[in-house]
Order: sequence, then structure tokens, then C-alpha cells
Amino acid sequence: MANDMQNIGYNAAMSQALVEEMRRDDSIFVLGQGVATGGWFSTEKGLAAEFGADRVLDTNISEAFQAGVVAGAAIAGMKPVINMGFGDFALIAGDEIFHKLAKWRYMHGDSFPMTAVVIFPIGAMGGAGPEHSGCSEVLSMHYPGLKVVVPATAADAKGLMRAALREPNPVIFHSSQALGWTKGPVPVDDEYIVPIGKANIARAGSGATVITYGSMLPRCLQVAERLAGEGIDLEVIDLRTLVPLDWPTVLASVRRTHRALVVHEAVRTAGAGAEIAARIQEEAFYDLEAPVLRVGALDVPLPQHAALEAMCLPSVDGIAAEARKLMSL
Amino acid sequence: MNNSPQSPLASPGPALLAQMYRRMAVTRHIERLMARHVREHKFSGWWHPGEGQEAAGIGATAAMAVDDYLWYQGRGCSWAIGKGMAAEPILADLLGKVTGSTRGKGAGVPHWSDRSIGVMGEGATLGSVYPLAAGSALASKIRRDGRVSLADFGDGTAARGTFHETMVHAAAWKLPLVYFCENNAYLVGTKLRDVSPTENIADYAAGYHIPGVVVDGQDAVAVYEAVTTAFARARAGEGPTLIEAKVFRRQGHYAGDPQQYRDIEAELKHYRDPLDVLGARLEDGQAAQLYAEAETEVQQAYAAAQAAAEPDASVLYQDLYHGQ
Amino acid sequence: MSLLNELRIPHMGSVENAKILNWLVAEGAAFSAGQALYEIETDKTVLEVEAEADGVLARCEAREGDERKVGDRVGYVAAAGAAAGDIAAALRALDAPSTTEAAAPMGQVSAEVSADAAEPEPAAVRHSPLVRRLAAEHGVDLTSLRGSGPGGKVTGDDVLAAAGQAAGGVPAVPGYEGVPFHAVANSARRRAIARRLSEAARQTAALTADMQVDLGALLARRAEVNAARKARGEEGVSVLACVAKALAAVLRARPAFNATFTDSHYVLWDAVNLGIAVDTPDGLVVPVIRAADRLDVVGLTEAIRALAQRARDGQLRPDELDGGTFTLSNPGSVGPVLRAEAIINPPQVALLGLPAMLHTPVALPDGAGGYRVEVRPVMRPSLTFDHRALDGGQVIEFLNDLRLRLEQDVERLFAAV
Repeated sequence: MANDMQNIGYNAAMSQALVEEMRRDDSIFVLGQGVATGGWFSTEKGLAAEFGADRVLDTNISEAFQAGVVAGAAIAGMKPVINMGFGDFALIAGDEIFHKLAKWRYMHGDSFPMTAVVIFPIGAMGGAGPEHSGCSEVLSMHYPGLKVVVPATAADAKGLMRAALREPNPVIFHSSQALGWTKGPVPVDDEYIVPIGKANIARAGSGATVITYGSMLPRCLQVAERLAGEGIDLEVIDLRTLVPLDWPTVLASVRRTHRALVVHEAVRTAGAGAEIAARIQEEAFYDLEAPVLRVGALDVPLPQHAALEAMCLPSVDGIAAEARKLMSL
Repeated sequence: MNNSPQSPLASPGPALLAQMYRRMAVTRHIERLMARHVREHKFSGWWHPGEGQEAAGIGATAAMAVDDYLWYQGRGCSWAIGKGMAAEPILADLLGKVTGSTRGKGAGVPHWSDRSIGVMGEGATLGSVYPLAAGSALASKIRRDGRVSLADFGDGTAARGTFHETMVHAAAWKLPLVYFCENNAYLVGTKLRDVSPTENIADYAAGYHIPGVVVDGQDAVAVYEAVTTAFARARAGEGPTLIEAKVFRRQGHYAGDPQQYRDIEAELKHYRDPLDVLGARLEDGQAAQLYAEAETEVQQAYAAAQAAAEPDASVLYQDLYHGQ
Repeated sequence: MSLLNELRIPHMGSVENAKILNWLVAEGAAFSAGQALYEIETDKTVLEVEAEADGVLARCEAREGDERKVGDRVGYVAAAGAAAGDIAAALRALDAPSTTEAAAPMGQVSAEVSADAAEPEPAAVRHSPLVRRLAAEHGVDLTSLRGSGPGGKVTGDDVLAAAGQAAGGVPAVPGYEGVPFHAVANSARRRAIARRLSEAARQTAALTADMQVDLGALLARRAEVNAARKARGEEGVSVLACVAKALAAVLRARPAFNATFTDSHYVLWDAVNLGIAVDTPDGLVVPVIRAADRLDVVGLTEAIRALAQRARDGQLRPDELDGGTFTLSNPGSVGPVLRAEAIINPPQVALLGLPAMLHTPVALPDGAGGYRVEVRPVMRPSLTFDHRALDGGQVIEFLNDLRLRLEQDVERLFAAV
């Protein structure tokens, strides 16, 4: 690996960006369960040791308080970061996130810069049950005033964390539970940044456009490799950001390939794919050979039983079948 | 019951008393005006009359520095006026005009805000005030800027989970935060005693090992003194205080509330108008003169607000994001 | 050999359409070779179809007034001398589905017709939105297209291939074998234009009349209006828009010019949808301003400008090219052309062309019974019209109406701007 690259895990990459930015900007502070004791963000020294107890705070299990204090501190000019552990807990802190964080400035007619990063890891972990495994990102899309990022690689986790900490708007950072310890090449550069709102074409192709994000990216790339052997050339777009969504990249691709498939781990009904599919057919209807298809989890609460859980989630086989179906229409 | 710690109390001098009275009078004139306006015009928001409770907001804000953080969720406008906002942007907000402090966005349910004088705004979900105020308190603690945050709320909101989640942390971390409860004994139409295990909200304080102070909410000076004490404690790094002001809600929950749940006549026998209580501390004739000045000021502000423009569709996408 | 043979309308040169006028032989009657069996009206004339051999008219299927095409079956004939009873039995057998024998067609039957008969009914075809758009843009007829997509579906590539089918090499031009050349394959748009124009030239009886219009008063008033508008920070009004405004009013007053001529009817359009001819790098297009009579000159100026820009940028939508009831062409904007005769835009009946406006010496009455010469800004609009629908007198009145509105009724053009 080149000198300027390192092979580190996704969570470690997020933490690296956070530490680098905390060194530059003393208005950034972190709170959450177990952060001071290094639970989530494990660095060599430990966050609290380097930045002090003032800037690294352990809290109780109080999601509403956590999210509300983040909003209040951000309104008062600080840059708080909180890891709330599970996307499903967004519902416990619903008022604080979707009303206060998202809407405060609009309600008061004043768009002052407001930085707050709320980390909500989403997705199944292999048997964590229906209240710890869900994907809540569509909620974040539905309340205007938030920005929403969904990195799928360790490099993007670092780059987007930096971008979120420099963003003058609240960012919901949906990291992926499944990819947390996946290692990948990450630039060492402590200025490495991935702009919010820019998708990445993870694999160029001409036969159909697969639009995905987060935990499903590796599966979609596997599907593309498999189907290449069958003469189907898929283009795979990793959205990386859901709000604002990079519509120009998505639509330009669909206008070239004339077929689209959206794949996400979230439940299929009313998931992000519904908005993406609707928008594609609104704006590129006359470029489509076939309807836009979507793959998501089954419309059930995810069972605790790991084997049952796997049946509910989009698999490589399942995604491949849907892609073949798309090509046959 | 009254756990206030022994400390020298600072009482307001004559200049401060006059300013308090004038602001209370402005508040009262706005109350009267809004009661009339809502009857005579189609009003697109909800007006929650605060008549009778003005001493709480006026007294408390008089004890706050200009850069102390105020997060209010009370009724009426005594807190915003007391903290230093003028009548015109407040009325313009209520009428939904672009000259309001929220530039037409926060019409109806008041969201008056002016961060430059510490009026942080209002959320419409009652109980959101606690963690937000703890947020600014935490910011102050990290920055060591000596500012104190105050969360104002009514007795009906004291049962929200966020009250507890926040105070647990504020007390543990000794945040510079003061809880200020305006207890008018009614949650909309429900009597507090039917839904609360204790006579006083201040009684909750013992559970957090913080001072709980009950104060006469009709007496602005009493309120001022209690808040001064609490703020001194907070600025010294000793942590939060829970102040409960017993207040009298003179009107209904909302403008036009028939109040069938109240024996208002019986209650009025015990009513002490906060203007009278505060006015008694002024020089002869001063109260009447300030009252008249305040009336003129409010009338002019009302006329200006009525003449101001309504927002048009161009504001719809403004203030969604910074930098867009 | 079967008793019955199909009686089909014979092919006659380039004739396509045949309307049955009347039968000249009764059902069941015998006829001899050369005898006229029925009369048809074609695109060009009325004619009789004669029997090729002796026979009996077993059944008439087409009725008087039916619209048919050459090659269509209009009935059945039996061999000469066939008995009525045998004929009846054969007809019953024909009608009963399980015992139908394929009746051999009689007379000149083109290869196309038999090919049609042999092919099965196509299954319900679904064309994707992409395919429909490309077919519309490139003028490809989808009904005849074979698809290479899944299940025989027509794909966008199929449409493009059909549109761009270059027939291999450049056709040889006799007598030019020794002349060096280079050739460019015609775009689909160019081929479509060529097809439409030759069709229009063939079908319409086009003539052109010109009239001289003095634009002095119009230009003066326009200059005033535009100065006032400029002072207010508003865009100016174009001369073309002024002419369009007057034209729209004339079309309202003379609906015969805002119409379509068919064999059976003169269709007067209630809406004035004015097509504006625009030159683009890829050929001429005519985007349409719908309800042009409802716009004032400011609205017309902006509509013309916007459509022309989109036309040049290739961003016109299909619905912006449809529904035109009259066309306005402005070749005078390109250069000092003196005459703006054009080819009518089917299915319209007329087109107004504007040549260049030139400052020209003109003889004006001097008030004393003589003439003086003055230089005036003059233009001679050309009205190309379909003589099948419109007569000379009407045309001259149309042009005169337009002229008077542009010369003497100038105020009304600028009303409310």
C-alpha cells in the first residue's frame, strides 16, 4: 500500500477524522454512552485523555436528553458530536432530532451556522433484534433541515465525518453497523474530505444503473461481478449522501443505461428507494426501457433469530435475481 | 419547603424597578391588545394569554445578564419583553409580518428570538426546553464564559421525561442551569393536584440534591431575588436550582377559553395583580406615568406591525440551511 | 380449385385509397370479362373496376361509401356457370370456421398483400417510453419494426438503427461516374423533412401571392413603446411579434385560413396555434405558440424568443411541435431576400412568409393629383396558400386586411403594453 494510504476499519476511520478535527477546533466536543471510556471511538490515547473531561462526556441512557443537548449546544455556537448507538433510537429522540435540530432555524427565520453531528449506526448486526437492527435513514430524509450521509467505505467514513464537522448545518451520520469493522484503504491525509452531496460511481457500466448506499454496496458490487459473467454490465452508484441527494449523477446514469434498480437494507415499503424510484420516473421517464425496480428488506420487523433475520435482508442472490428481471423487461 | 440557601440578596435599585415596571406594563398592554385583536380579527395562530403571570418573566429576566441564555415556553410575552425585546418585532411576529423577529416564519405560536440578547427562541413541543437549555449551559461550561442558562416552563410541563433526563445530568455535571417553573395550578383545564404527587413542583429538587425554591410569583421583586441567588450559585459552578413561582393565570388557557373547569369568581378573590404589587414599590405617580408611556409604545408598535408587509412565497425555502 | 375466389381491389399505379362508390353488378348476377363490376373514388379520380374474366358475383362485402385501400377484399366471385345452390353452400362453408378452405385470391395481388395474410395477428405490443420518444423524434414507424429486445421487444437501439439505416453506400448518380465527390449520410431529421415536403408539394395545389406593406407607422410606434419599456427596465417588443399579432387577428377574422382541408371536410380550427419556422443546425423546425391570439405583443415576443432558443438547443418537447394551424416564416431575418414564398406545412392550408424589410423609393400621392417619391420602409409578405381550399379573391382580401392592420391600425397592436 502506498505511503499515503492506510488499511484501517470503518469505525476507526470515523474516529480518526473526529480526533483530527477536535485537535483543530476546540468548539467540537463529544458525548454519548461510554465515549469517555473509549467505547466507540477507540484511539491509542483515548479521547478523554487527550481532550479532557470537558470535551468528552459520558451520559446516561437518555437519548432525548442527548439529542436535545446537542441541539441546544449547537444553537449556542458549539459543535457537538454524539453517537447514539442505533438508528432505531432516533424514535426515542424524535422531537429533539426531527423538530428541534431540523427545524429550529427555519421556525425562527434565522439560518445561522449550526454544526451538530448525530451518529446513528443503522442496519442488522446478526441477531440484534427488531429494535436494534433497523434502518431509520428515511426519517432523516423526510424532515427538511437536516443533511444525511451514508458512507459505505472506510475512506468515505473518514471523509464524510470531516465534511460533517465542517458543515454549518446539522448532519445525521448513518454509519453502517455491518461495515463497522470492515477494513479498507483510507488516505492518511488529515485534510482528506469527501463532499456532502456527491455520489460515487463505484462501478461503471452500460446495461443498467444500480443505485445503493451503505451496507448494500459490497453486495451490489458482488452482483455486478457475477452478472458480468452473464453478459450483463451493471453500473453501480454509491449515493454516499441521501440529503442532498446527487440527482444529476443518478439521472445522467439512468439516461445512459435506460434501466434502474435501487437497493437498500431498509424495509422496502416507503424506504429511500421509493423516493429515488419516483424521482427517476418523473425526470427520466422518456429514457426508460423498463420500470424502476427496488430491493429492500421484507416488510416485517427484523426477527432476533440470526438465520431468520438473514432471510429478511437483501442477499446477493436476491439482488442478482432482481437485476436479471430488470434486464428481461 | 423553601430550600433557598442563605446568601446575601441583591434587591433591584430604583432604576431597575422602573425598567421592570415599564416592561411589565408593555407586556400587559400587549396582553390587552391581543385579547381584543383575537376577538376582532381572524388570527392565524394560537394566543395563550399570560395576564396575571407577568411578574415571573419580568422579575426573572431582570436578574439575567444580557448574554445569559433564556429558553422560554411560558404564556404571554413577559419573558421576551423582560429580556429586552421591543414590542414591535413581537407584535409583528404575532401578526405574521416580515418585520417580526422570525421574519414571518414564526407567526401565531410565538417563536420570538434574538440571540444577540440571549432570547434563544421557543419550541412548540412543551418540554423541549430542558435539554436545549442544558445544551447552552454545557456550552458555557466548556467555554468557561460564565453565562447561565434558564429554562422557563409551566407546571403542566414538569412531568415530561426530558425534565428528568436533563436535570439528572445537569445536577451531576453541575451545569450552569436554572429551571424556572411558573405554577398556575392548571394544565390547560386539569388541576395540577389531580395529576401531581406533590403540592409543589419544587419538591422534585430533593431527588436531584439541588435546591428547590418556592417563590411568590405575583411579586416581581421576590422572583428577581430568587433568580439572582440561583444565578450566583450557577456562575460559581455549584450547579442548578429549581425555582417554582406560584402564579395566577388570570385568563383562560387560550384566548376564548370558556374556563368551565374553574370557579374564576372564587379564585379572583385572592388575585393580586402583579402590576399593582410592583407599582407599590415605585415613587408616587411614577407607575401611572410609566403605564401611560407603555401604552403609547404598544399602540405605535401595533400600528407599525399592522402596516408591515406579509411574507410572500420567496421566504419558503429561506432559512432551511446555512449557506444556501 | 375452390368454387369461390376473393375479389380484391386491383393495384393501379400509385393509387392507395379507394372509396367504394357503388356496385354496378348485383349480388348473385353473372358478369363477363371486361364488364365494370364496381366504381371507386381514388385520390386522383373516379374509376370503374372491370372483371378480368367471366364469373358470378357471389357476395359483396364492401358497401357503398366504405373507405378501402388497394388490395383489400371487397367480395367473392364464383366461376362462370356456377349454380346458385353450390355458391350458397360454398359461402356457408366459408363462414363456418372449422371447414373454411383458404380461398385463393383472384387477380393482381401484390406480394405485400399475401405476406400480410400469412402473418399472424401481432400480440399486444408495449413500447417503452424511451422507444416512443425516439420513434417520435426520428420519425420511425413502430408498427413495422421488429424488436431485438427480450421477447421480441423493440428497444431504443432498434429504433435508432431503423432511423439511421444508411443503405450501405451512396446511390450512384447516372452520368456522374467520373466526377469526384464526398457524401454525408442524411440525418433522420433531414429525411423526415424531405418526405414531408415532397408529400406537401404533391398533395397541395400551392400558389403564392404578395402584397406590399409600408411599415413606417409601425416602426415609429414600436420605437416609442420600446423606449418607454427600456426606461422601465423591460424588454423591447420585436417587429416579428407585431406582425404575428396582426396576423393572429386576421386569422380570427378569416377562419378559412386557419384550417385543414380534407377530401370530405373543411376543418376550421377554433384555436389559433401559430407555428414559427426556426432554422436549426439540424434543419427547419416549426414550434407552435398555442392560442397565439390571446397573447399581446410582449407575450408574443417572449414566446417566439423562448421557442426559437429551445429549438436551437434541441430542447423542444413533442407537444410543442404539434397542433399548429398556421405557420409564420421569417426568412427576411437572415438576409435581404425579396420574396418569401414557402412550402405549405401540412395539414395547414396557408403560410405567411416575411421577406426582408428594405428602405425603398415609393411613389406616394402628392395631394395634387400627382406623385412624389419618398423612401419608405417596405416589406412584401408572401402568402402561400392551398388553392384546393382557398381562392384568389379570399387571399387578396386576407393580405389587404393584414396590410391595413400593419399600416393604419397600429395602436391596436400595442394596446396594453
